[in-house]
Amino acid sequence: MEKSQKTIRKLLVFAAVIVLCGGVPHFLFGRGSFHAGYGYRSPYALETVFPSAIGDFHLVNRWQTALQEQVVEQVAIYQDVASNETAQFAIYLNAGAHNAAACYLARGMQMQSRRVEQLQTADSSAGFEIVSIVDQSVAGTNGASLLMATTECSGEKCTSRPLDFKAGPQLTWLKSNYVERNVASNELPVPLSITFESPGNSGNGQGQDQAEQHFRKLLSNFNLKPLRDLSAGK
Amino acid sequence: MSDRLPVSSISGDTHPVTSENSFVKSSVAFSGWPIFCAIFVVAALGLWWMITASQARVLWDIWTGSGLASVGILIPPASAILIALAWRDQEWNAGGTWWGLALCTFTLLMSAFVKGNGSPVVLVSTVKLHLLPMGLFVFLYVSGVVLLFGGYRAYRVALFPISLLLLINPAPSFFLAYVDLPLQYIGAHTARAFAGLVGVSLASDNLRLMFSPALGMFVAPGCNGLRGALTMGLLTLVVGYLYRMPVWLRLFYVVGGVVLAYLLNLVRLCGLVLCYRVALGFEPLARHMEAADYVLGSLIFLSGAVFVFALPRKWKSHRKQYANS
Repeated sequence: MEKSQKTIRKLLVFAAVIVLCGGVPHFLFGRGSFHAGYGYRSPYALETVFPSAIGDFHLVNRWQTALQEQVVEQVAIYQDVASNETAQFAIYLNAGAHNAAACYLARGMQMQSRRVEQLQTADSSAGFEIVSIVDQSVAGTNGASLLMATTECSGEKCTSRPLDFKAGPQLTWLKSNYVERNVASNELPVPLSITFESPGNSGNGQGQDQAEQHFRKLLSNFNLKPLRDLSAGK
Repeated sequence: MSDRLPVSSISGDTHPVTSENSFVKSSVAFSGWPIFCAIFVVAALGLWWMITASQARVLWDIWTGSGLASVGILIPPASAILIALAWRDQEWNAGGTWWGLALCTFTLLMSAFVKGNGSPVVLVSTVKLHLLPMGLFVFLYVSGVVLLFGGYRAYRVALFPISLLLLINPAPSFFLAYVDLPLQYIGAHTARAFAGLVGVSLASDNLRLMFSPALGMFVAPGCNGLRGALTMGLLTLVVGYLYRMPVWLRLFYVVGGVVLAYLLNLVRLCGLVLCYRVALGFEPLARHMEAADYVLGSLIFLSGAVFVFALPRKWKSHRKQYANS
């Protein structure tokens, strides 16, 4: 009996501690929400994001894949009239930040060069990280120039998110997690990756320049507004 | 009411409590189910307030969104079951210590501080290393509750299952960046090298197919073997504990299990390259390559797991033989 009463006393003290040290901060600093706190974006129709033609390139295929519970991947493949050059456009919804170049490199492809560039699209100027990838054809023939351009769209603009930073380790205080920050600003980043493949000799400077020129031309006809609207939740 | 009541207070049975009674039974015996349930409810409420709904959502998304971290969803139930098993054959005077309350208070206050001021994070380029991860808070809080109501002995006996809670996010971002990504490189290069060895030309056209859903060798994240290796690591950790292996042997066992799982995955990748080579010239098979990947992966992992789990059983029978002789 005595032990039982002792346990009850202990439980009462414990409950008081829970209310004071757990409940009060919980209601003071915000409870968050299990369901609404993620800022989910429903994907636009594929034809809204990826039209049937971009400049001289025509649509070959476009599809949408639900990668997991909320992340949606929308992809479209375009080719030029002669079917020599191929461009693959991919966006990832509800995934937060996603640098597709990192995925390609992680799959064993080697990077030849990398730079951040401001490029003109159909409706705006946008920051892209452009990664040139070495063709790893085992046969070593028909090597192609492979370019990966990535950007991340918010409601206002599309900017590059570089693969890494060279700064050393630093201690910081993370106010809230990535998702919460974006929900607070009512924006969810929409990452876009473009893989551009052009025939020619790998490592050949002339072929590379020509591929970049064609890539710029293609991009100048692509509209980024749907991605910015998507990010802003319009 | 004495400290050691008959179980009749719980189940209607009139048999007295025996020495095999569990901690749960002895808890109930000294205080009854209502109090035991009240402890559970209050502790659960405190845990919910501590982690908050939005953090729970983040954890849920990690479990359901990341193939690598998805094994973390099994940690809480595994921990609960192992705690129950650890306490099943134990008997002690459930006294508890007020130090448990101090630990709970400290943990809740730390959590409140983090909510108000932010969580300390070491940033290395874009990689975050959380110095106070959620698993640490959960571990300290549960430790406090067990110490408060169960005491030192209850805590010592259940220390391993409680420590498992530290791994509720088994693949934090720094792990993904510094362990997962380099291993993805190795996995991808192994597959490529093997493809070259068996004469599969990875020309650019084939490379493009790699990124379409129709056909292609797509060495996706998770194919690096860490998903299997992480699962194998956790399983060997639990099995080693259940077989009461010595700590040094358990360490070898866990490391061996992880390495084996990783190597078996490289075998799987090479096997998959062979499958793709066949599928390139046989259209009906090409449609089922994803299923082939799952079948191949499951069979290889299962055979590895059977081998790994047979080891502690063998060790135990050897030890018994040695003791008898």
